[in-house]
Amino acid sequence: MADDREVLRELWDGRLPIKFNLAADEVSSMEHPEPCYLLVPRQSYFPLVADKVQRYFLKYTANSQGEEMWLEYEGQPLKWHYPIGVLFDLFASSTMLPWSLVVHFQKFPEDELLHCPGKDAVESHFMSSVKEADTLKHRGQVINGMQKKDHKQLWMGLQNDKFDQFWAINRRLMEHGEENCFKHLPFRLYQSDKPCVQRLFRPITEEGEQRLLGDLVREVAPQVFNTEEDASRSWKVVIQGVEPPMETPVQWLSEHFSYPDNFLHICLVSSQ
Amino acid sequence: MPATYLWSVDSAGKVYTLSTGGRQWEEVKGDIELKRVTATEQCAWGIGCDHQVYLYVHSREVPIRCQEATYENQRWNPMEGFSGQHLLPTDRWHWSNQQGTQLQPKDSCTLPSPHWSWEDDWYIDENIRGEPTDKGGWQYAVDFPAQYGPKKRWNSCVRRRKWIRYRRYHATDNWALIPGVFEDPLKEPFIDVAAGGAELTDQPPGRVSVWTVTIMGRIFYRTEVHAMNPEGVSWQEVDNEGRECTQISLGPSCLLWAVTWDGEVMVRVGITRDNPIGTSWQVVAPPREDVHFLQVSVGVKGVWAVSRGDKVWSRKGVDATGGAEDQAALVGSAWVEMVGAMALISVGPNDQVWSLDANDRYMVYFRKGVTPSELSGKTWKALEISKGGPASMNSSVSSSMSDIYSQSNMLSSQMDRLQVASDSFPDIQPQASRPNLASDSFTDSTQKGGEKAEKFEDSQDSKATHSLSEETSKESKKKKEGEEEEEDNKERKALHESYNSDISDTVVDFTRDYVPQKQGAGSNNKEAQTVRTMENTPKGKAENTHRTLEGSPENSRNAICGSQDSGISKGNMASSTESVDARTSNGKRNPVLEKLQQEDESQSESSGSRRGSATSFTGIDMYADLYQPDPAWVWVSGGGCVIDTFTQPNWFTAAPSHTNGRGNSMLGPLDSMAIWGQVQINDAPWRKRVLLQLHERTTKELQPFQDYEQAIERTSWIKKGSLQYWSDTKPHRWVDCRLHLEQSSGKGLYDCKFTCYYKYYDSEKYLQFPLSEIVCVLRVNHGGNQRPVLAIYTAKRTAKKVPVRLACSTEKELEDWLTAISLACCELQGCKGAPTSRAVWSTTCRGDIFVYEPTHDMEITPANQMFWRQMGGHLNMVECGGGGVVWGVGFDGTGWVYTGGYGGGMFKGIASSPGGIHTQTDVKYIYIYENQRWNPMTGFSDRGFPTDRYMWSDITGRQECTKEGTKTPTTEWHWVGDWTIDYKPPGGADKKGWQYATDFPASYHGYKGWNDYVRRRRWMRKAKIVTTGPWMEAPPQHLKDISVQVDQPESSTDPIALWAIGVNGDVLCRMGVIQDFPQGVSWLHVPTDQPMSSVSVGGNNRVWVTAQDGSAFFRNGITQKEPQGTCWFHIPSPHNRPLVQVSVGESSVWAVDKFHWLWFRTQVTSTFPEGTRWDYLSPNVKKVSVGPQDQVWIIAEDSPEKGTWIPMADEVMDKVKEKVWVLQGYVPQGSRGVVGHRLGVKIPEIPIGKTWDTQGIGGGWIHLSIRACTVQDPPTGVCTDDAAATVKGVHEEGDATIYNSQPVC
Repeated sequence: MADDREVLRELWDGRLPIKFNLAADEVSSMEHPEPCYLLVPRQSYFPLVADKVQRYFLKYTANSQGEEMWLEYEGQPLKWHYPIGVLFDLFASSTMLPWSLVVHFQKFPEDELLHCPGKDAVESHFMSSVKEADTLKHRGQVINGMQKKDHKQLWMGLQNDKFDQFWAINRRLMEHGEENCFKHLPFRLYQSDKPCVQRLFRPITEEGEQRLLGDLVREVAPQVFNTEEDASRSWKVVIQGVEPPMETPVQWLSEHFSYPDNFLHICLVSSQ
Repeated sequence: MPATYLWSVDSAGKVYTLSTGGRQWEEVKGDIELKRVTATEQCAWGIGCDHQVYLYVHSREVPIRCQEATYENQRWNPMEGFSGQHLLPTDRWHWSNQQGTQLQPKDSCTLPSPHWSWEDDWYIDENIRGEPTDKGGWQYAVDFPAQYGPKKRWNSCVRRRKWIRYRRYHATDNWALIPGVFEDPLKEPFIDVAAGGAELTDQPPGRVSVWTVTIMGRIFYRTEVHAMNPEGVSWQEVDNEGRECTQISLGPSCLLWAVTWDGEVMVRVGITRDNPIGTSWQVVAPPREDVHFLQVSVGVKGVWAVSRGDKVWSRKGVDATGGAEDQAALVGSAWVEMVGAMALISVGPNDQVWSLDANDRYMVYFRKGVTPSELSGKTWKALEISKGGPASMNSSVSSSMSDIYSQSNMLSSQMDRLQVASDSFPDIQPQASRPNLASDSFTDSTQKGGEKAEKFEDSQDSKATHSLSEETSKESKKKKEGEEEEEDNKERKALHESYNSDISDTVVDFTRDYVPQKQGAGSNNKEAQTVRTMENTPKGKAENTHRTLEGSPENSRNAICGSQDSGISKGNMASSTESVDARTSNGKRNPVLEKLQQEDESQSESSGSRRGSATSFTGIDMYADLYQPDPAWVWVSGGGCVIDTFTQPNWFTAAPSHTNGRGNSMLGPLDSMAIWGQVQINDAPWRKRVLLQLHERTTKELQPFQDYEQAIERTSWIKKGSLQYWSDTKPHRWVDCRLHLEQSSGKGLYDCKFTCYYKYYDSEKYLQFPLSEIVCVLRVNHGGNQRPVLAIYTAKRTAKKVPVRLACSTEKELEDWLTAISLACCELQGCKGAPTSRAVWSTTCRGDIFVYEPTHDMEITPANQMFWRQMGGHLNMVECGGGGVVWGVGFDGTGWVYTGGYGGGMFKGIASSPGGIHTQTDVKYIYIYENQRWNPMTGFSDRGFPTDRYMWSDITGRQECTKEGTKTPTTEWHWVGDWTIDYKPPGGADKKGWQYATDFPASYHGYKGWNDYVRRRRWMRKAKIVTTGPWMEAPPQHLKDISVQVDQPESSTDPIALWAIGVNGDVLCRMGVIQDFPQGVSWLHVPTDQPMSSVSVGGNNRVWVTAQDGSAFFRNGITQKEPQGTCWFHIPSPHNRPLVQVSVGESSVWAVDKFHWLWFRTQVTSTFPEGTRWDYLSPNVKKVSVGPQDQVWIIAEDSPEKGTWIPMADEVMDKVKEKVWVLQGYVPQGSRGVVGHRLGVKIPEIPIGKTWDTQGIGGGWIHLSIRACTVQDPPTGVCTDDAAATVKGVHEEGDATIYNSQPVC
């Protein structure tokens, strides 16, 4: 059961300072607008925090009415359905802060990004993630046993950045049965240049021993430990902006270090 | 609940117990081999192999001791003064008993049996009814059968004094022979024994019934067996009415069944509290003519029997709760044949059933699903424990783990690596470790001992596809030799051969660890790692005693077995598990096995055990052989094993996996042993690193950008619900209401509000106050509403004692609201994490626990503004003291130690601390009343007047409470047992429990007067709560009171004085209590001449107690070296006011008497610590707690003597020269169970203070402790959040201020 309030609270309060710049070629006003600075919750999604940015830049850009806003970092369009913290850890963990993003209203990269029609889309994406995670953890029994209003509270807790509101419900999703662990571990492993990896992984061994983060990485991404293949590259395993020691039990990580969508998003970042 | 034990006997005559909290059979040490055993919770009786009766009493920290007393009588004559030689012929003897009816010289008093010994010599008791006597202990009187007084008067013609001496039962933890009926034990040997009957309704407490059967079929009853006289006095034959008996069984409520030689079953009828022997036998008809019973076993409602052909029978309709009156219920109605073939059956006190299978005597079976409504249960379930199944393997691992914890740490991390490595080589490792392939060389190697390692390596070499590097094997051999030398020096006696193989096991395994790792990682530090491992192992062995020696290799092997499993395919897993089985049973040093191995008998025990573990290694192949010779069980007794239907023992569940990472082996059975605070996860290095990184993340990503705009503005969150509100204004009633609880986190906390909208005469009204005004929220009893009710107090409402009362529709909803409001308030008040070591603890009559965090200077806070927050758990009292040591006592007397956590109970998940939350149980009685009215036609009957109260009601009569309809207080509570009549209600009752009165609301008395037209009797039923909280069960010593020293220890290793009073009035001193180990090590019994009622440890270890006779005692001579002190100083009670509670602060001493008056001891100084006089201060005080600054806090209570008020003694007035405060210092009436404190206490000028502030929280508060409440900060250990403190500690060289400015968590 997720019961380390100190860690949960610290993670929830994680914020990223972001400098939003309007793409130079989209500026239609006389002068270039000043960048927009915001503290953005790591746990959240860009469409949820974009209101202020959009409002700020709209007057500087012409013929963008109705066009969907999208963000880009160093030529990389950012997927809105990844939590913000994941995007940062994956692409920009070594960058100088604030994180400088380019705001676009035109030329939506259809082949790289999904459209986001609104916050409802984020909600349905979020809820389906939570359900998928629960299917892995408890065969979906917990989430299906909840009422509609509990689902709503979960979402509203995230949307409005309310720790207690969110965790009042989420702790039920983090409970585990008699086995003291989840059925499978909901995790996704990202690398900047490869598709993300998701596999079935039991948090304990057949003997009931806890499996550790090292075990997981070794199984899913053996290249991290395989230094001989390319000695020049070494990898960092980043979750929620930190590098948990390899001897951290995955069960504990899943309970405490999962994003609100109940997935453990693990970023493999190479540090040349 | 303390663990209880299941007893069993194996065919070798050895007796084993299995704890309800354990997972392993433990051998009972004793000099004698037994055939049968019958257990009660306190002791066990057995039939030895010599067919004599033996008694086994567990040694307890409080010894069984009995006072012997005799009186010396003297008469005055003018010639010689007082003398014992010249008593008149009509007088009593010079030495006599108290009444003077018997001659009783000192030397006539002998020990009842060789199992007793004298504690010391005769000495004079100088205390008469709480008053000290003059020197010599003489009590004077005019003539002998008169009233004695302590003073010699002009007309005192006779005097007497009391000599006392204590004897002690010393044959504990061993089988003590009970003399037989005849001098010659062979004349009529015993064949069965049955003990029980401890719960016969209303019998003298402590009485036990013991019955036995001889070879001649005669039945005997052991007279006067009692908790204080465990052996009893003599055997009394009970007429068997011509039926020769073979076996007998006794239940806890004295249900007695016996089997005759003819296979008949008979029941003893007429057993009552006055006649424990009963009156006659009644034969129970067999189910069929051809059924011949062999054995029977009884509980309270459960009767089970075994007949010829191993058939099992259960008797329907038996109920012994009604006592002897209901004969039909003792006999039952019908036999039911059960499935299964059993050789033996045993029924426990809760009607739980154990048995031995007729075909497989190697397992004890437990009947699953036996509940009060389903007495026959569902299925037989084998206790795999007897063979050391996986569960017991785990427990043995973790128990041995603890011993070599530090050493094994490294080891296990190596194991992990191995495991990972072996995972990545699935096709290599399994082959190498598959036992059947390697078996030849295995067996060989055992025989050849020392050569084994090489052999084994060879076999590996040949099987494995990769070869060992020669270097490695050489190195390992070298290491091995070094080890041997070292070991040899340590334990010369050990046999070289067995020794060798033992060590080489370990070495071999390590070499194997090493190999795949080398392959897998290929890193350069491999060599260093191996060396480290090697170094660790011998160190662990050398440092520890041979017990650990035994454990250490076993442990490492177990771990290795585990790692093998990971590589072995599933089919092989079973075999390797069973190999462990064999070893565990072997660990008990199974005699038959030893014989099989034909080992030399002269070998020492330690080498024997080592031999055991050596063979166990070969057990991997030979387990099939080892499996058989394990001695079979021949007898099992569940009579002392209490199992509730809702708290199952650990026997069936596997040991919990190491949920908190492998670095922590302190789990499972050890969980309750040494965990102080949150050492489990919080101290794991990975957690510290994670937390540190998180703080660094904050520093990097958030700190420099604080001025940025937030992307999402935080707004408040409103929790809404529909409840019922108790209208404050007339008419008082429940009205529907809507509740809004506005919460927010971070900034904007100030505008959180609590609003309750309700309708008042069709107009919408609402009640609103800021959350910050709430001082307490708790669950309350509220008669008249079946729904659960919660109460919210604000400062104003606390003073007026009218909380906002809200009724919820379900328990769940109540808990939801209670935790939501409580947590929101805690956040607002800044109460996070665990209470500080200065906190004030209190309990309510519901058993709820509340904590108040004192401000720096507590005196300033008015009592009604103190914020009380709830902690999980259920306790009658909590006492705190110096060094942050906090102990509690449950309603059932169980001691609980505070673990340093928070939350538990209804505070779940993130509202609870990550560690230190344990299951807690408690038991209390629920009472209802049966009311009857007399009428001329039928006498007393349940037909009352229409105006009368309900015929079944609560104590007030206003609430109907039927036996069926009365529910437990909350869903956490469960009924245990059934309703029984309370024969000893307060106020007394007649033999059937009735209390009489002229009319209903009148006062009741225990006899029927001529004008008594109504009567009532009290029924009681036990209820048990199972909850959780930051409490850990203290050793099984039932307590009445407890006290921790008020002084702060100077260092964390200073011993902390903790004294307690046992339920029977024994004074106990806890040894080994220090700041970081508050549970201490053991109890030290401090002998007293009479039972005590309360204890308090003041400054400088001044210990005061109050005695049962109302006087007080001061313990003298307490020093660091002699923490229990040397002698008692008797301090008489104030005149005719028996003291019931005492509290000693840094310097002052306060006491409360039976009539709720508060007394202050004057002139207590360091040179004269006993003071001079008791001064009266105030009525209406239920409890007093004096703090380390001599602060005085009380629980105020209406006195039974309402309105009485005696003026303060003049001397006191003169001394203080301030008459005003005497009148001000009067606790007003009408404040029942309210927290108050004394204002104006100033040491040393005004130790008794000036006025009372009794505006505090209350209405049902029963206990309070401010004894940890120092005004200045204690030297160490003050932090609201342990984890934050650790981070600070880790990061000291960095910028520590960051964490101060940034609230953690």
